[in-house]
Amino acid sequence: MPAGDRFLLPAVALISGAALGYELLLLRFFSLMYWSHFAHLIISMALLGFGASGTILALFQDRLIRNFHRSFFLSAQLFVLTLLAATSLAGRLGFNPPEVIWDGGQLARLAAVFSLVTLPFCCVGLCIGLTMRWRTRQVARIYRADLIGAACGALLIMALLFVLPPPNAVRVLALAGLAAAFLAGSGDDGNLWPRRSALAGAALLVVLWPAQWLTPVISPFKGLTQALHIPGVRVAERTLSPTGDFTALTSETVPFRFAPGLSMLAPATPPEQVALFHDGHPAGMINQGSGGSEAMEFMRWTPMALPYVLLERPRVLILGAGGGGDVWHALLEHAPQVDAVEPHRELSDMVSGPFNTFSGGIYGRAGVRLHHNDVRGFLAAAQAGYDLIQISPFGTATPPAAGGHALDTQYLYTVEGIRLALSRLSARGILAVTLTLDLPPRSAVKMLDTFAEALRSEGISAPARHVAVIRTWNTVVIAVSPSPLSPAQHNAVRAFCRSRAFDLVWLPNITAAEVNRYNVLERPYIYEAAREIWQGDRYRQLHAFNISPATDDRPWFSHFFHWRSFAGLWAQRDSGSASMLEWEYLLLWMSLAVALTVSLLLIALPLRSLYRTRHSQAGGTGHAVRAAYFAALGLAFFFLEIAFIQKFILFLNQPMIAMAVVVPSFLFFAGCGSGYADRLAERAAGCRAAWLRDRPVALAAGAIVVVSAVYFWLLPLVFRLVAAWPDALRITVAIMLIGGLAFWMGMPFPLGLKRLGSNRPDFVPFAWGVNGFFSVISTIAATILALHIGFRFVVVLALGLYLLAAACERRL
Amino acid sequence: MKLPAILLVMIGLTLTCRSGWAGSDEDEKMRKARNQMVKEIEMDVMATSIRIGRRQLNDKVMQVMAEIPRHEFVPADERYAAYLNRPLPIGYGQTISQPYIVALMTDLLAISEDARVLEVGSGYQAAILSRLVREVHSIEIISELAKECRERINRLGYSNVTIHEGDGYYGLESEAPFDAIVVTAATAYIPPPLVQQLKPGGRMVIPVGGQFAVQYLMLVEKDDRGEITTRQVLPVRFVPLTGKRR
Repeated sequence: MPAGDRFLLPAVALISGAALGYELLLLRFFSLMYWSHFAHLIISMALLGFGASGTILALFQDRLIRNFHRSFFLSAQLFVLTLLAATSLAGRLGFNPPEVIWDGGQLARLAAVFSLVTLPFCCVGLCIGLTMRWRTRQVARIYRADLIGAACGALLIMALLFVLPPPNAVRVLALAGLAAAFLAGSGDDGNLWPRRSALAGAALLVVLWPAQWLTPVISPFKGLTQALHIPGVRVAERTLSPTGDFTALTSETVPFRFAPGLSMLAPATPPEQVALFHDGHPAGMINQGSGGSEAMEFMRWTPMALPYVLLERPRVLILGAGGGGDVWHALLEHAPQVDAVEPHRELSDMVSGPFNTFSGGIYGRAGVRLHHNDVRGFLAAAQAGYDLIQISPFGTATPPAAGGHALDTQYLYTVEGIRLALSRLSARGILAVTLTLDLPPRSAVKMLDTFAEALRSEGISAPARHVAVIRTWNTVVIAVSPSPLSPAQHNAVRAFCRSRAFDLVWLPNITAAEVNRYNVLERPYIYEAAREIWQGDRYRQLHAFNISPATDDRPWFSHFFHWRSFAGLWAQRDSGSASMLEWEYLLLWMSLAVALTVSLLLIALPLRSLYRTRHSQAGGTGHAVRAAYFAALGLAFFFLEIAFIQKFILFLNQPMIAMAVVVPSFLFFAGCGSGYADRLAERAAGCRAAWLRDRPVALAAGAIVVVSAVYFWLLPLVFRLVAAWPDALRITVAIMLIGGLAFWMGMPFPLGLKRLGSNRPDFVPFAWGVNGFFSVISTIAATILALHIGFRFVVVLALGLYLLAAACERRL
Repeated sequence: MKLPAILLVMIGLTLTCRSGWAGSDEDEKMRKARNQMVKEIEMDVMATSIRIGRRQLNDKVMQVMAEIPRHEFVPADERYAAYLNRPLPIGYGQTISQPYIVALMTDLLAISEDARVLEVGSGYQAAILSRLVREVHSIEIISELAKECRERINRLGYSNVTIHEGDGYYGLESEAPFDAIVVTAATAYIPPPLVQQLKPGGRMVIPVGGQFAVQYLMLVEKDDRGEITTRQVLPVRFVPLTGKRR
């Protein structure tokens, strides 16, 4: 690179880092403003910005390249301005995801949010695309700077979110953009004063931009916003971190009385409570325990007390301990040992910190051990044989009841997850899961089927003898044991239900006359379902819903939607069926439609008309092959990345840690691979095998296929072996594994661009745009495909696409 | 001096007449809106007949729904929507239920004219009940709402309604037992004290579930032996509200 451009690569790295940092920050903002499953949408928005920049480059490349430094400078400045504007407006356009069911206008609002958020990324895309077009021969090095800068940006934002409030994190990213503008602008010999003045002005704007405008607005449909409407409710504690916004509320006028399924015959009432929220969603309660365990008597009148009538003084594992309600319950029942696992340290820190006295010092009590870990991760590493593993709505690990979570991946409630939990029980131990009763009861039926499949996988041929199910009008408790339940246990369950007016749903020797007595449903759904499930069938009454057990390959327990029910539910959406339409899933398709439309308008159509006009003579298959090559790469890269992010979430336990490790690692090693691409091309040129000579992309694609295939077979084994290792070691293993794949994935794109740059440099923006267009679709399409056919198939598809790219290589 | 005085008197008279006409226009508009609301309730009943087990509601209930001025029970800035078949915010984080739900809840109570009823909540539902039963006791936890409601009930002349201020979770021990109990605020579970204050043979109706999620209507029945059964009647219409804090 010429000496005058020595600041160019740092400038690319800086602006790229700011863009990726912003992308991750948006994940946080969208989790808070809306729901947590918008990752695919945000990545799609970012990629659309990059794709649209390809269009602008294609349209104005001569003029922009002629004034390269000024163009870079202006694009970087615009990045800063659009970053501030998009952050301030994105949550204030009236977009409310659940409303997509009944308000067609929401689609337009989604398109508006989508378009707005793409703007900063479009500016960054311009900076990088311009640089690649400016120094065509240095594409691989520029791509490396881009990816390594992005990796650093991802790490930086994670660190920043620990120490800075979100508005200030936005400011830091904006200042990084200005620094990139400064560096790139310095390479020009012209008069620098106007640019420096503009920079100073922009810096002042960044600093003075009101913090309130940069603060995300929480959806009015979330529990926290609703609770704050109640008189006398106030925020007692709030903690912000990269993993979420944690809030504790107290209520002076209308007491919180959280006691799911409390018997109508209960003589006891819940004590005073503090409500906990994570990103605006309810995350359990802290019961006032300062008066001792007597205040917790009401818990004996909830269905969650079922396992304690089956066991005496059990050693207990609480998954998702939250505010400590289940821990109190275990102590009330004289459990000698209670292991409490809470994935969110911030929540348990609140209980042990500011609310320690209020909670009766629950996590410091004798026999209680608190573990900060993901629940599946804890189970993977646990050795002890517990008598009881309890998951209840008092904690944070129960499947979410209300809408908005259908696309949350939940690895505890897969067949593999339940098998793991069963394997951590003692011989006569009990795994008890409490669910909210939905109608028709999809969650309970799916959970029962998951249990049955897990028990069968453990070699138990008659699962019916191992299960007890009871319910109230709004909760279902499923208790399962590796050993058949004894007659004494059957009697204890019957007596428990009778004394509390709870309904029996399943016991090994139950009769039809015993079910659906106190809380009468239209039909005894779960009992009927159980009978069919024990026969190995699916419950036909709910055939219109997806009630197949979730697996690690398709880990969406709360996704029940099935297209065969769509027409009926849509027709009745105004009379009670809207809740079953699963807006999250429909929004996914709407997002795909919006992404397709916007990227068609901004990328595909302008490029098509431009290249058709300019190169009508060249036409023919050349266009199609070039398009196919960069389209295949656009799809394949993100198909693989998204599939492996999911794999590593399971391995690293915490989604945010996984994002912080996986995304930068992918980018860093892909950047390294990109840097190595030139050498691979040299080696390929001298390759002895004629079919591989001068085909570096084929070499890289071959490596990707081999490594991915080995990983898919090997990763579960590796993950099991190192599950109990300390975090730092597991993270190191993860980085190494990602490196082995991402290194090769970083090569095909720059290799293709370089070849194209040599043959047809005017087509570089076209390639950039096509790649962007298909990348935009890829992230959403990957999620849709995985929901229907699993991540395994997404990987297979990605590998096929890499091979397709390899086949197109020589005709670029 | 005479002419301006006459002019002033005439202008004054004109204004008075106009405001009188406006008032009568307003009443007529509200009456028409109320009738339209009743038609929508009837359509909703038909649409949900399988779930609620009936094709029409009690005539008396529908008649009262067509008479009670719902616009008197909502804040001034929500009056325009008073007869839309949807819940409305009434401030303090509380809502007034969707008219269809109010009608259905009243119908489900299956009350006699001689009944004594407890309403947990405040206002509109109590007014509806007052025309159908002997005595209505209404309990409201938010003192501002209780005060507003007492003033409104007195002004509108519902003399058989008594407004109490207190925690509805515990019911109204001093006036118990009741032939029927209706809870107008959604709750996470059925408060045991209310079940105890229900007479044998009595009925209780409660909307359960979150305010913005699916709400179910729960019918609680206490038979003559004191045994309790519950039945979920239907998931009620899912209509969003984004009411501002008052």
